[in-house]
Amino acid sequence: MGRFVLKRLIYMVITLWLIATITFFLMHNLPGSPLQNEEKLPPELKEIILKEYGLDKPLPVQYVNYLGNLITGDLGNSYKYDGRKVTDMIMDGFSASATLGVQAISFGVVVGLILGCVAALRRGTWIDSGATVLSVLGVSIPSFVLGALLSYYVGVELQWLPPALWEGWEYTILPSLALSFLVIAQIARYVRTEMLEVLGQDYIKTAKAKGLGRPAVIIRHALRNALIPAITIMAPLTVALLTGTLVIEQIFAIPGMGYMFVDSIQTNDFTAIMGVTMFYSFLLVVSIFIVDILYGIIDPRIRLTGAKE
Amino acid sequence: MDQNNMLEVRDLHVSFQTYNGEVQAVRGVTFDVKKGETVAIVGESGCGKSVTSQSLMRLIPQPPGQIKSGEIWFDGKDLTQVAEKDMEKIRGKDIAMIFQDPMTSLNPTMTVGKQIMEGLIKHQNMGKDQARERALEMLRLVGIPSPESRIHQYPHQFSGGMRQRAMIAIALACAPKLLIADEPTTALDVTIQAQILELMNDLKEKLETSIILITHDLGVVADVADRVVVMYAGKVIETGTVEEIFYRPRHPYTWGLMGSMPRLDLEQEKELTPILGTPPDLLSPPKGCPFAARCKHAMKVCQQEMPETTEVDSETHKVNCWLEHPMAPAVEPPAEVVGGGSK
Amino acid sequence: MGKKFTMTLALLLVASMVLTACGGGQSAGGDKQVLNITETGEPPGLDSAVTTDQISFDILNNVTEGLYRVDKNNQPQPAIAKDVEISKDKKTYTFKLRDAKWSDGKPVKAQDFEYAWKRALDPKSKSQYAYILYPIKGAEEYNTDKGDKKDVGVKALDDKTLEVKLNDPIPYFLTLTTFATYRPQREDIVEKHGKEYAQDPDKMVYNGPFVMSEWKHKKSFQLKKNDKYWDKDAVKLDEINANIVKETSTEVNLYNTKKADVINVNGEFVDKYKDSKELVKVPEASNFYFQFNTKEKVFSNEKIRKAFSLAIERKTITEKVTKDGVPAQGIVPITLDVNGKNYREQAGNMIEEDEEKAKKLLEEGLEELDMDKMPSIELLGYDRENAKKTQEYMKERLKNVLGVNVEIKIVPFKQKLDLENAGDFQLSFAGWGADYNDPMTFLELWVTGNPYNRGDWSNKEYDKLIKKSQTNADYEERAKDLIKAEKIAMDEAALAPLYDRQRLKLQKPYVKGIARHPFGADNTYKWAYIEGK
Repeated sequence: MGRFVLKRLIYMVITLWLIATITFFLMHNLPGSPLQNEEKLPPELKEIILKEYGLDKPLPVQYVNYLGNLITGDLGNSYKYDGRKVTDMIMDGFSASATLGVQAISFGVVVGLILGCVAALRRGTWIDSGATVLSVLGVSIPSFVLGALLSYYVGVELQWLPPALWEGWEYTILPSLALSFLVIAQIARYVRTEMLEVLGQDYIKTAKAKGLGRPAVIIRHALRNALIPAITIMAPLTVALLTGTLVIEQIFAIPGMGYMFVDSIQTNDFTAIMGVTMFYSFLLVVSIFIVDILYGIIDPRIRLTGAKE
Repeated sequence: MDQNNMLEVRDLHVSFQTYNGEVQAVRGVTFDVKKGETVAIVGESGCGKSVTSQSLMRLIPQPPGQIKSGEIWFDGKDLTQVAEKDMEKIRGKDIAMIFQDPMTSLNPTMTVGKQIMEGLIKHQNMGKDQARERALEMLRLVGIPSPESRIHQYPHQFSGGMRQRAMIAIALACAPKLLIADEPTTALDVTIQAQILELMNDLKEKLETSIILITHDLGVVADVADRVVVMYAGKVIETGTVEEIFYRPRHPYTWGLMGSMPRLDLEQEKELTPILGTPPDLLSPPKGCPFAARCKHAMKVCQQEMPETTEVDSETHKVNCWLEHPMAPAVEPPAEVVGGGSK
Repeated sequence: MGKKFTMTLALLLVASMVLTACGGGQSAGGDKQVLNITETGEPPGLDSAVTTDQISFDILNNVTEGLYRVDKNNQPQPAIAKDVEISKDKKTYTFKLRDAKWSDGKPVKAQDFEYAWKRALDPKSKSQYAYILYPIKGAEEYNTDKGDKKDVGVKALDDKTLEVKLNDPIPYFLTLTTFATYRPQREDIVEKHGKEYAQDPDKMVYNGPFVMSEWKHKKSFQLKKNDKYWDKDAVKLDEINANIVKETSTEVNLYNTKKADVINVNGEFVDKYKDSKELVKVPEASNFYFQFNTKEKVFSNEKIRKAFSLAIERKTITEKVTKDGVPAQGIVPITLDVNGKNYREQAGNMIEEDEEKAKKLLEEGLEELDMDKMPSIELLGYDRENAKKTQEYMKERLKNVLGVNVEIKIVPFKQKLDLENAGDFQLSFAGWGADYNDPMTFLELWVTGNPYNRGDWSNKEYDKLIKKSQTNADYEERAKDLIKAEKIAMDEAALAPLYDRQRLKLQKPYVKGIARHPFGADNTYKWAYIEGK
């Protein structure tokens, strides 16, 4: 297991380095500069300011400087928000995004799991059909459409919950709900399919033949095996959720990372783009890492092949 | 219920509802298992032997399966009538089961030890430590080396034969009165097969367990069974002791079965002759003898009416065939099937 | 049964809404004057010397004050300056400061201005609006590293006297002093916080009608009445709460749930609120136009350029396409003044629209160029919502009227600027906003050699008039010259103006007295109040 983890860690570092490098060069090939008032800025002044930012240096030099800073965890100062450290900006936004993401994922996973299980166990009943319809809707309706609908109908028409802003727990409900729909749909779909397959497996018959009751058979034997594929989709789901937050944060006016990401790209704020990209990548790589480990815990076969390698 | 009988199955009917209609997988099966006896149920795949065995434990998926009628007497109870809760107490404790494919019949995400302990904790009211002791004992009993470390391993760390041993350990952990082994050796290679069969025979003696052995491998039957039930198209067509079935088979289907199997017990080389044709469609089973369409000796009556059960030679040997009727022409079994002359 | 139920439910809902509305009115309508607004983005920073964005300008306009402040009619009025003495040659301004205080109780001194302006001009400050100070003597030289700090023509003669020397006798200098970059700054505070200066409410000081009391980055900020403000009796609002909301539909949702009293909307919502008194249209001193690249063969021809301009129906754009503007009447937007009077009223509408004439001119133009057919034209556009809509409309329109095939090339805004600067376009969709309240802020762009003259149009007479006006101390004559110059550019169709943009807002009827400005900062809340909520 230790070796498995170490190997994964090395992959992680390599992945991050690749992402850093690719983003760096892609970004520096973006048209335009990180200047704010570009359409009006006299060309002479523009050159002077770029020089102040060190953007006149050859790209390889900038790259080396950048990597050096990155290793020490210094993401630099934002170009747009001149006095602010990118790290601080990320941390500012992260708490909101994380709250949103964690709520959406946990709610989505729990509901999706229950829904998927119930649908599989009550196969062919109206519950099953309902779950299927919900899954199709959840996968096909983008979260921002749902977000806009929820904000309008629940927030403005019914006035049950605030339509936007980020002031307290009740403000997190609608955006989390909008985001979790996809998670519910995906997890429910996977768990249902897997559950049906697992329930037809011989070892389920073995478990029954042992005289175990239905709950024990389902929870101890079926669920765990049905969860394995559900866990594999957690990583791509996290990605989908991250992209989902970009728009959801906008719709609900949430001061999260999405705001910062969109904003930094629109204004060519190089350090902020790099910072957020690296942070997102880091999150992603870590979440894939966690999924791998989880996968290993749930499925002993994976763990062992990993260790043998 | 006969005092000597462990199990009595009476006129069991099991059907499955499909999109095309009702498949009558088991159509009036009757047989007994005596205490300490090994009964083999043989037949081609699809003949209803697995459905029969799973029905005994009420393990057929419901729906689409359903026990339509009949009785399964075990330990003074008709298992077709027992509540699901009580059935759970019988499963694994009084009746246990081993499945065909040890690769798939163990839960891949649970240690072998836990899988053995599960039943013990449920049925024997054992604590964890006690259950572990018993599991170790079982592993030792089924001949798994260094059980102390094996108990913590997962099924994928076991070889095929070892898995089947583990399965047997699970099945026998609670010392059941009846063990149903559904093709327990089919998925294993020949040398392992022999070991497993030997193990089963061994344990049967030690634990005084009755065994129902489901198989299509007559070689296995010859090795371990006391009695044989031959099934065809959801019906029992012949029963008898191993000797009776192997050396004095009376049903043309049994002849066919014998003829299509390699026999190590016969002296002369024999040519294998497969049974031509296919079994009838159980969506609409024939009114008469289901084997009539494939039977060389079929008569008019065979198509029209199912033959009665007739006792032949002894009270243990029963056959359902119109050829046993006094008015039927005398037909001798093909010579290559019956080495019986010498016996 | 079902109907009855629905009715009851509806009644209940209405009742609850009325109740909540009343409740809200009572609590907020008490003694405290509170205004809730939305902003479309996070202010990048409130360092007046370096900031460039509209939201920061807006906040700074309400928490700080310069020598002058624009009033409700967009005219400069004395603020921190009590009065000013202007030399005969109109190149030296001597401001007398009033007894104003910073929010920490210290007096606002002339040195604070000198420090702030020179700081903005210091190349190390990377101020991207430093050029707004270029009318001051020696400013451009210092800013571009060609001159010395001590030669910059701003000097505190004493604590209360500030002397400013200009390069030219420009008529709009007092308006310039209302601009953010011209605000005073306290050296001690700036030094103390260094890079973090003005990044948080407690890392700056204020001398305006309000102070910033809270700033939750990217989420919200709050302004409170400044009790150290010299004119605090004029200020009625106690509190302004701003939430940062990027999405217009979200702003509308907040507006409809009474969480915001004033919001920004865009053209998409205009139809819905067309007849509502709550819809406020604020004209902006910015215009959008087509820039012809005269280096391109077809657009080197005046008649073809004119044909394009004649073919456009500007009203369709402002009423049906973008819905957030008024048809342009020339290069200079309708809102700008010259010498304190509206420029356009003096210059008149210079735009002509005539389909038949357009067709005729196109033919003649092609003949002059010895071409039988108008080649397909590439329109350089960018990817913002209204730009895309306008570009699509133009493609359609030019095809229908002139039979010209237009292909739209959409690139990100920043890339468009790059392509324009490189002269790598045929026809481009462009916009410009005023930096100060004078036609010059637009007209100087089309002078030969000006880096913003991206279409390289050139006219000697035009150049002469603009150049003269830049240094002409006779303001009456200057105004006439500017009109003349604009007429030349329009006659030759140096560009085809399309529309002046408007900002659209929804404002609750109980909000009164917000002063809105077409240039510089958007809003002044100094005189705003809540009544009848």
